[in-house]
Amino acid sequence: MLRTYRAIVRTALSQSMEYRINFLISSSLGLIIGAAIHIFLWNAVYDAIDHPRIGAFDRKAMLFYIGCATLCSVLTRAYRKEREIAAEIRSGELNKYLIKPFSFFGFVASFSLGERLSGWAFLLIIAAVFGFPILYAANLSLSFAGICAAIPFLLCGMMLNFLFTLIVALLAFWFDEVWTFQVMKDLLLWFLSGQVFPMSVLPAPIQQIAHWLPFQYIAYVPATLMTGQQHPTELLPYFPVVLFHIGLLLLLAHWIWQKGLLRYGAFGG
Amino acid sequence: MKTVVRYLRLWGAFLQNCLMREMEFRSHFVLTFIMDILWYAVQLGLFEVLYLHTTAIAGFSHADMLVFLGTLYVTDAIDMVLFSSNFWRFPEYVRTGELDFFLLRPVHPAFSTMLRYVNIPSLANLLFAIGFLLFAISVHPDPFPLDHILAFLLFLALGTLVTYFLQLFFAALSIFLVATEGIQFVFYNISQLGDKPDVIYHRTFQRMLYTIFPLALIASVPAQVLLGKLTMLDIWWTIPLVAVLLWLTLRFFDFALRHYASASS
Repeated sequence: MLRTYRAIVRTALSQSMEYRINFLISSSLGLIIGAAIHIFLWNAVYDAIDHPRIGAFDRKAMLFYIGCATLCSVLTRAYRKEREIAAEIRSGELNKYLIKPFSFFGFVASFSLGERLSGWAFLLIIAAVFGFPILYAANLSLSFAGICAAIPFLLCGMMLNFLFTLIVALLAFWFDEVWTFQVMKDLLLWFLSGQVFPMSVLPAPIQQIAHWLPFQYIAYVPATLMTGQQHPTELLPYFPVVLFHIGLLLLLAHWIWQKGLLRYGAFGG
Repeated sequence: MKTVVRYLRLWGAFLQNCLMREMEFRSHFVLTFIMDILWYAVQLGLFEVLYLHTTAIAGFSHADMLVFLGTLYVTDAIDMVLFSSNFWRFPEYVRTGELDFFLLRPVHPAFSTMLRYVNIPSLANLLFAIGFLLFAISVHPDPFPLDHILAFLLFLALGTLVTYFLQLFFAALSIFLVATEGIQFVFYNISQLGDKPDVIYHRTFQRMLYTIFPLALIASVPAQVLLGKLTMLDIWWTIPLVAVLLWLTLRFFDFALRHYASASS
C-alpha cells in the first residue's frame, strides 16, 4: 500500500513541475509583496510612537517577525489538489477515485505532499536569496534551536491548512459553489494566524482565546520560534494541543466525507 | 455621442441578463455578499489592532483611516461589480478559444470582454461600502468642504479607470502567456499594494505607485483628496497621466489581439 502512495507522491511532484512558473510567480510575489506591505505598515507605526517597544517587540524584532510569519504562512498554505476536489465532486470526476483500491484521503494527502515538496524547495530558495542578505545587512540572525523547533509546528500548520481547505472543498456535496467559502477561510487565516501581527500585541483576553484556537500554529508559533522571540521549551506544552486540533479536524473531515458520499449522485465523470 | 449611448444600452442589456441569472442562484448572492463583508472586516480589524498601539499612522489618525477604508471599500466594490469577474474569466476565453465570439461582435472587445458580466451581489456590497464611508465621514471631527467632495468624486472616477486599464493590461498579457492562473495571481498580489495608504511606503516606492503602476490613484489619492491632505494643485498631473496610460493600454490590448491565435473550433 505504501508503494501506491509513494507513486502518487512522485506523480504529483512531476505534475507540479508543469506549473512551476505559475507557482514561482505567485509564491515569490505573495512572499515578497505580502511581507513588504506589512513591514512598511509596522514601520510607519513605529515612526509614530514615542516608545521603542510594542509588547515584547522593538522595531527590528517586529519587522523580522513579519518577514518570518509571511514565510511561514506561504509555506503552510493550501495547494491545488485539495481545492480541486470541489470541482471534481460537482463534475462527477470523483468517481475515478472511488473505484480505485486506495483511501481517498490517503490519495489527496499523498498528492498534496508531492505538490508541496517542489513548492517548499522553490520557496526556501527564494527566501534564502532575498532573506539572507537582509538578515546580514540588518545584523539579525535566525535561532538554530528555534528553527529546529519550528519545523514540527510548520508541519502541523501545513496539516491544519490542508484539513481546513479539504473540509471546505467537501462542502461541494451540498453547495454548487464553494470558492466563496475558500476565500472566507483564507481571509480568516490571514487575520487569525499571526501573519500580519503577532498575537501578543492583542488585548490579553483575546490572546487567551487565540491560544486555544488552531490558527496560530500556521504562522505565529513557528515565526516566534524562528526569530527567537519564544524559547522552544515555552511552546512545548502547545504541541499536544495542535495534535488534538489536527485529530479533531481529521474526524470532522471524515464525518463530512461519509455524509457527503450518501448524497453523492455520481453523475458525469 | 451616439456610440456612447449604444455602449450604455448594451451594458444595460448585460446588467439585465446578469440579474436574471443571479435570481436562479440566490445562495451565491448571499455568500458573495458575506465574503466581501468579511474582507472589509479583516481590513478594519488589522487597523483596529494597529491603533491599539498608536494614535496615528503616517499622518492618518484613526478617524482619517476610517475614511480611507470607506474609500477602499467603495473602490473595491465598484471593481467587483464591473470588472473583477470579467478579468478572472479572460484567460479562460483565451485558453478555450471563446475569445473568438467576442471578436466577431460589432463592439470593441476591450468593452465586451471586460464588462460582459455584472457582479450583482457586489451591488449590495457597494451600498454597504457607501454606507460605511458616510458613517466614517459623519464621525470624523473635521468638516468636509464641497470642493473636497467634488474633487473626491472626480478622483474616484479616475481610480475606477485605473482599475479598468490595469486589469485590461494583464488580460492582454494573458494572450501572450496563455498560462492562465499565473497572470491573475500576479495582478492580485501587486494590487494589494493599493490596499494601504501610499504614505506608509518608501518615497521611491510611492513614486512608482503614482506613475508606472498607479495603484495609489485607486483609493489612497481619492481618500487624501477628501481629507484635504492632497489638493488638486498637488495631483492635477495624474489626470493627463491616466488618459495617456489608458490610451497606451488600449493600444497594447489591440496589439495583443492581433497576435491572438484561436485555440479551438
